[in-house]
Amino acid sequence: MDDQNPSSWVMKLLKWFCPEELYEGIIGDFMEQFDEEVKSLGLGRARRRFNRNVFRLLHPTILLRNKIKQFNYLPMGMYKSHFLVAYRSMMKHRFYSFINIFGLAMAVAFVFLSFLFINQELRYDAFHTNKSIYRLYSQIRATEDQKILSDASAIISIPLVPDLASQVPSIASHSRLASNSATVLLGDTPYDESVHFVDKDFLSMFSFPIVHGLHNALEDPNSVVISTEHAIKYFGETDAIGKSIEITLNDSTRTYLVKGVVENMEQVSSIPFNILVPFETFRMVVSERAMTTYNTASIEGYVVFENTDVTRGISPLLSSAIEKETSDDHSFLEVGIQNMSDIHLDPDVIGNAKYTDPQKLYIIGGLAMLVLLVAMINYITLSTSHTLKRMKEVGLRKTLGAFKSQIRVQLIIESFSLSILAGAIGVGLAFVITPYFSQLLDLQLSFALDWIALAFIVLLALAIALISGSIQSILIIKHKLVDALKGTIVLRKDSLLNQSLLVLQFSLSIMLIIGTLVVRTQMNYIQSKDLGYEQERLLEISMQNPADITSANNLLNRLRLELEKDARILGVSGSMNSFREPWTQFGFRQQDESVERVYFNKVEENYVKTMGIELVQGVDFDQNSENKGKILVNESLVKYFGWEDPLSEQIPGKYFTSSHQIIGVVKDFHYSTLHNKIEPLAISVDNEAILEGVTGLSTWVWPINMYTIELRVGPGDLGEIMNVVEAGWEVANPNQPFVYSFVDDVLAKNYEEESRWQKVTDSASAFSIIIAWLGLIGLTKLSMQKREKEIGIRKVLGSTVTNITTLLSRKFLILIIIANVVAWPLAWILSEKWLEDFTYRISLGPSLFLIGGVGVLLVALASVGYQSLRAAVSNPVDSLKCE
Amino acid sequence: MFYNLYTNAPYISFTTYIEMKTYLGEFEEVILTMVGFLGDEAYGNAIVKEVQEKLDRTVNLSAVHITLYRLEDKGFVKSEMRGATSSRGGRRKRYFAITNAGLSLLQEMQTQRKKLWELFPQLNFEKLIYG
Repeated sequence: MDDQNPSSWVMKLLKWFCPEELYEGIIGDFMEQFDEEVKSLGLGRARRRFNRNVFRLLHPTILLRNKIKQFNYLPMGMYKSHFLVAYRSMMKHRFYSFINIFGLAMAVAFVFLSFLFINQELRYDAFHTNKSIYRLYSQIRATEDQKILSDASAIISIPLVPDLASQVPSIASHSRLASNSATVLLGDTPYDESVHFVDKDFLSMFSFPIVHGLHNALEDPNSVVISTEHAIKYFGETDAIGKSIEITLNDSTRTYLVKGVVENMEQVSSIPFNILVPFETFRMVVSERAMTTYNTASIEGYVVFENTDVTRGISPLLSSAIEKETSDDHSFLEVGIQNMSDIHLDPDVIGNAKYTDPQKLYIIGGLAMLVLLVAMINYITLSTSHTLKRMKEVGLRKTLGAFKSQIRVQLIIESFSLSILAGAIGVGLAFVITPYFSQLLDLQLSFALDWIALAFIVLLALAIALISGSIQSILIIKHKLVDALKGTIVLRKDSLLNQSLLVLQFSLSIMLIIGTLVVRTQMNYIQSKDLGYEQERLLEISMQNPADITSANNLLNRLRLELEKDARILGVSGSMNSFREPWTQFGFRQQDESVERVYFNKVEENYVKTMGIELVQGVDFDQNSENKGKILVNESLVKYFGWEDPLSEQIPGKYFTSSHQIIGVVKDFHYSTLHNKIEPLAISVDNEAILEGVTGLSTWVWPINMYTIELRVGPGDLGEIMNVVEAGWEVANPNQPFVYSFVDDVLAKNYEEESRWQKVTDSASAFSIIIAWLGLIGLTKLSMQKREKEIGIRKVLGSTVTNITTLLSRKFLILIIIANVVAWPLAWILSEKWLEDFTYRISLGPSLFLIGGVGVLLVALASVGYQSLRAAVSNPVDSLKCE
Repeated sequence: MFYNLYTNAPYISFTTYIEMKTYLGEFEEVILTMVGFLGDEAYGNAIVKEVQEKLDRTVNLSAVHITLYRLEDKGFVKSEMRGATSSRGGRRKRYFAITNAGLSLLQEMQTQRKKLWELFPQLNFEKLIYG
């Protein structure tokens, strides 16, 4: 008998979706028909027909029954009327509509710009179609306690990548990525360029669009692939296939054939390149030992796994594959992987890729939300005060049978039409200011109105409408009907909600202003801080890549010979590290095997003098000797090791093979940014002085040599002096371009990130203050209008203009003072948090807070006072007669 | 709670005051007619069979149900559960009955149709025969 039934799952389905009160009648009818059909048509067809019946019942009439009962009766006419009423009231009160819409539009513009920025940052490297590309990184771990001894770094040794690729079968392809500066010669024109060395799979692993050429363009050792920008720069067209360029690396020149032209996707790619050459060419830059040793990290490595699943927990496998090469008694090298799409926003791995601190995305998003909040508060306070004027309308609607929910819907529809309008204007505004904004922040921001952006705007408008519309309706609906109709609702303008919103709004504005001031003061402090050397009129000239120390010295001497003729040039010196990069740091083991680190710079004899660094103890390097084994240390190093008499001490390296002599102590100077404390530093002329026996090294330039020339320029016209210097350079070193920078510019660049953020907070606080100020004007105007008669009567009874102005302004004054009380502690906490990053920072005094608070107070008082004054001097006859 | 200002009586649901659309689709009209026609015996399967028999037209049971509920929403039919039979596993049937509104709507539609039919040229032809 059981098999004479319809399929049980269909029965279950029917029971599930069918409303309970209908179920019995329906299943009864269905079963009756089914039973008859089993007899006349057979079980199979009966079942199919039963199924069809059930599916036909999946119909709104059944499904939505009792759920949205009024589904068929959406009061469309009512909605139409709501829009009409919204339009009319907007046109009737142009001033408030303008303030409302314009304030919101500004906020929307700011939010939209932030959205564009965040969206762009999140899409970094997303253009690579292969999602299982990973960057390798490594860190040193202690064998005993697994403690991490070094930062995770994506800069790894050269043999690591091919060794892993040959030992780990799930690695499908790999490419190393190294870079070096080079001179590109095109005919007779030299270009100072950065060249990238990659393995042959590079172009097929990554998805850089190939404009001309093939994926295998880099297989031939003499081939070069260039970016479209450089193809145009060199040849005036993108199709450069078959043309040749000469590249000078480390003083040896070779001719390369252009085999490919690709887009480098500069704006959204973590791998910046313009010129790609086969990796084998890297031999010309580094020593043979560097190509095979695991001890020098100089390149980045990218691998493609078969799929993303195999990468789970693969790190130990990778580490053990190269264990015998990289571990010693105390530590081993741990290899990790990082997905391509994570590189841009991962703060934990140090590498060459352009990187954005994800925290900053939160900050921008947060600032945008703050501005939006200020605008919404504006909107709510203004339109509630304003809608109370329309209490009669609401009362009438209620009388005619409108439910609370319907009035709420009406208010939400009104806010929605307003916010959509504001959204449209805001997007327009954003379109206009995008170029300025991206220039200001030095971003490549493009205004793209794709469907994600559109959806975002519509959602934003909806959210604004829903939130502000609902709050507004709560405030309005609660009033008694009779009062509304009689028009006797006394506006409780002092309603707690309204007041707290105002306080909140002004607290936010004050906080933003204080934040802006803090950022500004800190930046000024940094830029004017005594760095321990004279950064003014100090020039750094790049020596590019001198072949060895002798050639560097020769170049330096030739240049000095040329420039010493000019009295305006006060000093010439050379050094390994420049201010454009972090300085070399080496690690060594102390007697107890613990690792210690000291910064190091190899310099020329007159470095200290040229830089204007003060010597506190001992003597400077000797101009006329080799200075064998002699080093200078800074005060921090002396303090760090706790020496009483540094001149008789030694840096305590257990494995140092030769002894060195500390001949002097220099005053601490800032060779890193002010984010960092001044760390122990040793400088020497003799590069062998302490380097034998060093166990680890992190450096931007390698091998040890001089790469930078320092030039001290005296008073006089800089343009003229620069001509002299350039002419001297051309005599001393005719084959290489003259590449220089002023140290103060370089330093300013170090704080570029901060000054960008300074501009972001600047603009956020400007936006919020303008919006809040607009709101305040609207609000005071409304409250003046409501008290017109009161003012008239007061004047008739003898109040003076001063009395009335004070009376009207007092309330706002009190609110803003409260807002200050709220804002100050919060601003203090946030500023402290931001300043934590700086080792050398301002201390927060009351002045900044006072300036912020009093500034807002004055702006507010000026506009409130002006309007109160206008109300106060008006003729009472005008306000009293109209009844 | 809202009270009517004049009578002080509680409001009833707002939706009931909305004016109904007073026309029916063709299928709705057929079903409504069948409900009226079948009198006490109008339930889903009976209607399907009746349509088959009287109009020689196969209709789907689900479609009939959906239409019946819609008519009920609009107030043209009402329903009650009764008459369990064993062939349905002891389940009761939902019997439908036409309401006065339904009846007057049908009548009105008939009148309208008749009016239109009278305007049809064919009538002149009849006049010719009799005249």
